[in-house]
Amino acid sequence: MTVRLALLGVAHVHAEAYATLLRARAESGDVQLIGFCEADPALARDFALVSGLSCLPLPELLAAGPDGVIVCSETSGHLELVRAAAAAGAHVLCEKPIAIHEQDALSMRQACEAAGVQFVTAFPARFSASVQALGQAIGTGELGAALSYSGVNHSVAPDRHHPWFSRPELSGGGAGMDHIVHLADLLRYFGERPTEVYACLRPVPEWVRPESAATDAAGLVTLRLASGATATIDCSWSRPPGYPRWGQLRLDLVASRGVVSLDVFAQHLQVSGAGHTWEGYGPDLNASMLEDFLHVCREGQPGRADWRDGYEALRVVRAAYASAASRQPVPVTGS
Amino acid sequence: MMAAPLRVGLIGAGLMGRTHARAWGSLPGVLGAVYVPPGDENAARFAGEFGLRPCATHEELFGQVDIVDICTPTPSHLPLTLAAAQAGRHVICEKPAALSVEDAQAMRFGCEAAGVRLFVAHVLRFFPQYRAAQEQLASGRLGAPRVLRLSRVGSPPGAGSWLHDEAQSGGVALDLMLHDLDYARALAGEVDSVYAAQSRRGERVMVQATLQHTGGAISLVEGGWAAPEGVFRTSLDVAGTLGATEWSSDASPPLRRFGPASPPESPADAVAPDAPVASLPPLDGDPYAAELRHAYHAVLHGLPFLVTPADAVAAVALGLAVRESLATGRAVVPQAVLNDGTAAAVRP
Repeated sequence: MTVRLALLGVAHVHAEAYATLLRARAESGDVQLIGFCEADPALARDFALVSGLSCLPLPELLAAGPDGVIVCSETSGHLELVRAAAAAGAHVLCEKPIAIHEQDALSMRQACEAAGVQFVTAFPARFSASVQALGQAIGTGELGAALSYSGVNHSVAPDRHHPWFSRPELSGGGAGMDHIVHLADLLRYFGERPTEVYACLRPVPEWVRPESAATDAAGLVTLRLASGATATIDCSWSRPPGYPRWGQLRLDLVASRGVVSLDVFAQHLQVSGAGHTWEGYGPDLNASMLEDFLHVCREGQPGRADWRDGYEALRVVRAAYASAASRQPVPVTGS
Repeated sequence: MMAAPLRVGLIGAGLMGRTHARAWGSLPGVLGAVYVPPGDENAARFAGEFGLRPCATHEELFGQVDIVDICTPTPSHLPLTLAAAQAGRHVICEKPAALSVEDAQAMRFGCEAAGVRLFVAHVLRFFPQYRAAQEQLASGRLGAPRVLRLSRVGSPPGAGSWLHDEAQSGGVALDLMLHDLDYARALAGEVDSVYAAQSRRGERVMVQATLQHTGGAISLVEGGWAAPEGVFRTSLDVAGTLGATEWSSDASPPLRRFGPASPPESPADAVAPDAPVASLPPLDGDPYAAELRHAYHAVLHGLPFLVTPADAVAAVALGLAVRESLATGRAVVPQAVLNDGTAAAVRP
């Protein structure tokens, strides 16, 4: 069957990459990209030009009957779009974090369950072969018991090209909202469950747009895990604009029988010219994630990362903000 | 050979004593004596190996030298430092200075009162890549420091090592992480909050600590005796308002060799009957030599130390704050380090 997809909102950094990948994928004939909707007229115009896709009002787009939608709006707009998509019977792939507050996330689940559609959280790192190999090594117990994880997901601040990322009314926060979830989810993927969260989240005006000077841009998070291990997540927007790539996704594991160093984007060419960049090669994680979502749309079965995964990652984020505000660790209870 | 202007005597013939004795080799003729208590065959052999005059008492050693280099387990640092100072000898002392702020302050002010210099050997400051990163920050190219990541993971100390006894060594926080705690403070300034979490599996232990600096930076300091034998990994990442610098021990060394395959070890070689005593590996631009040369010349010419006694006391306070946070599960304020020798250190 041909899977028909639509992009709901294109404000997210990844919208363009998804559109490009899906247009290439559409050449095989079993995928059709209907179009996109976007509330911001200027952004809609630009995106239509770059992607070659048509921008349609949301009701019209959903009336075309997509099998699945990809929600790429500002985080504050996710709930409304997810509700509309679910009501139209479309499966949902939702950008991360799935919501600003837990309550919105719970409403999304309710909407999707009521409509009988799947909710998939966009956690592409789960599709990395190295992540899967590490998960397997942890699962078999060959590494012994985990002592500590040290995660780095630092980057250049994304708000230079996408200003909403550092506007809390649209994003819910800054670096903490943007970059805790991937590593929180990898820990969950590896079977770890947090019991307590401590975080320092601080603004660094020099790293963000002037109007976002008060938004958190530096962040260090520590998790205590039910397994007895501990973990840290560096979610900072601490790479300068001249960094050779957007940033890093790395995780070091110290276990009782070995030490493992994961660098999800280690495969890259160093390219120098007028500037210096790292250009990745090898499998595209977003492409693998979209392939998984196409499968969800065809079969109606859950994706690799579901609503619960997105929700649990969000709970870590909320706990981090609560800890940063109180300057003390906060418990995370099982849900 | 011309007599060295200042002579050095060593107390401690263990791992760090050996490391220092080697490093003093870069200043020929300076290290002249070592304390060899009666009946201590290891120390006697050590004296012979390095061609040092064995001294049976501390007093005899103090009579032979101008600077006393203390490389003993931590609890003896205070009494040895005070004895050397009272004998009018300058002191170089391995880190940590002591296991309490009060003891470290007593060393600091005891030396001050006796009119002798005290250098606590925080060798990390003399590692070329750590110096280079500090210089990058000092140059202004990185702007003001905002996020520091410092990591140090090695294998557990050998079975029976005194380092395993936390009452003597202070454990990972005071013995291992102390390096990076001091370095974080050197780069990003005073600290007003410390939070730490720890995990243990048998003899293996990892600690992850977050520091909040009063100047606006935050630091993640991770350390552990937890890696498989022979593995030692360190890394630094300093992000400032204008730029960032990264280094990791995963970086290629300047020389790597692939083949020819080494001949198979014969069973006789595998366990040598007279196996050499453990020592830290020699390094390009040996930081121990750089550290001791620095201390020696600073004493000789009356120049300031790169690591002041106050820095050494503050590092102890940070290590203790890590331990207090581990004990309480809370973020804690490090103990204040007063600069007035007549007042006792107080809790804020």
